[in-house]
Amino acid sequence: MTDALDSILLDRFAAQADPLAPADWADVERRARALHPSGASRRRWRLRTVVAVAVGALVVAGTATAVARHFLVSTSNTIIPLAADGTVPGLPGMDVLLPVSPSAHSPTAAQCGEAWNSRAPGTTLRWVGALDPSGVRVSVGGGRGAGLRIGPLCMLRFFLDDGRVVMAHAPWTARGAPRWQGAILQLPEAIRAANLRSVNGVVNGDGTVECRTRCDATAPATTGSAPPVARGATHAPPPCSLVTAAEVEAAVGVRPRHRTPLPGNEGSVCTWHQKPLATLADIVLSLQVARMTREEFEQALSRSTSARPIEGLGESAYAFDDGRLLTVWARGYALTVTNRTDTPLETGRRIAAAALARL
Amino acid sequence: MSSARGIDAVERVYASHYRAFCRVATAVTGNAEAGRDAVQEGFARALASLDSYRGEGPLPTWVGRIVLRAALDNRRRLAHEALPPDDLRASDWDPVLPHPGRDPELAEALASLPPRQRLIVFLRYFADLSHADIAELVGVEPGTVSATLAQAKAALARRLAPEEPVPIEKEEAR
Repeated sequence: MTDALDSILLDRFAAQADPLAPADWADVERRARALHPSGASRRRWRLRTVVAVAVGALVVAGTATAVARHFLVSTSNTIIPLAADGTVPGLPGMDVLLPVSPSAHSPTAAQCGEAWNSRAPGTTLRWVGALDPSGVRVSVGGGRGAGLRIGPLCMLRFFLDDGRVVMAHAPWTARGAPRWQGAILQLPEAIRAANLRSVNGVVNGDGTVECRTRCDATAPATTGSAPPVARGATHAPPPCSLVTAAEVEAAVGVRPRHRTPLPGNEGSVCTWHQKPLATLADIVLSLQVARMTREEFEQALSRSTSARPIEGLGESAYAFDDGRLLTVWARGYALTVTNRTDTPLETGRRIAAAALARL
Repeated sequence: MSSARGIDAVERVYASHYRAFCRVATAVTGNAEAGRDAVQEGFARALASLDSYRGEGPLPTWVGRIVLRAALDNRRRLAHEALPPDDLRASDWDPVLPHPGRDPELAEALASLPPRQRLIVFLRYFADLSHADIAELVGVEPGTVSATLAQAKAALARRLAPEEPVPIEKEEAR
């Protein structure tokens, strides 16, 4: 009888329950901040912790930044390598590969701010809030050039008084921006000053942001119009077929155990790696092939101040970052090779030459 | 407990007790919206006064009492009641069904219970708290919770439980 009464009571009380509004820890923290604006002792303690963590991260990450600063993107996958000088608590680094939906819609900056407030981990929000950034730039990333495509991405830059910038990115998907990546950067002063002028939001004490200006901005020409390299892109040969494993081994010094093609409409990418592909650091070598005119190629490269012309390779070639990224145009194709060997330019040359021979 | 670790601990309590606290606060305030607001406000107060927590009891209990106070404040504000005393008694909680019209029989049966029995029934069956959690929250021994619950159920059984079928043998023997 007792068990039966238990069941009866549970059932009848359950019928009284209304649908539960979702938990919202960020709201709790906002209310707490309103109740206790200074939060003096707790805030000081947290700041000391944060500084200790940040210094530790800088020391650890100092030697692990030999990642090419470039973008390699296909329609369904985005690789966003950026040299980072530190990690952001609660967020994976920017070398982690996150899938991007080929969304027809680009978010607005306001939507990106809301996505940060609602989807960034509580640990990260608290950490950012304790840093007390002087401002935030909320923007939408995306674009294409030289056969490469990025985005759409939500991009937040938190500017700290000590000159560092906390960067957070999240690919925009049909479900918003559920997965954020982060890094701490020490920007050159000139770039930092330019970025500071583009601050368009404020950071609350709980790490949430409020977009104040240019909040309707969307990604610059990410989708919707015909991409310059789309014509005949489907005729670009698969890059995985242009280089053999033996050639990769001869160029980089190790025999890759895995090869992953990343298909896309604007030039697919082939990656070679030693273990299953999860982060950018796993990639030993990548090769991208895109069909484009020489004018498009040169025009895209002309906007770069860090491209170094390379002689004797294809009809036009440029190297970035000491050759860690090498892009070559020949016979209507742009080939882009990335690698992280000790002799990146030589490795890139050998791979590009092998691929050009099969085009 | 003034540290980032303390804040993390409160956040974990929020994650694990959100549903139960919403139910408790809903019962105290009389509606789900005010109850949920009390939970948010209660956790915010807990964060803002984290320095005052000395580990004198389990953290969920400490937060739970703050949530309860927030719920009572909401009820007072909604009903223009007098502020309850700081030292909360079971009679102050006075939980009610959010939708008595859905089950008038249950509402009537609960109303017939003494305040402490009614409170513990709510905490057990509406908030789905364990005997140990109820004991901590109410400030009594677990044995007291069990005994009180048994008394309450005996009273409720008379009103809510279906008639126990009479065995056929006994029927024939009569």
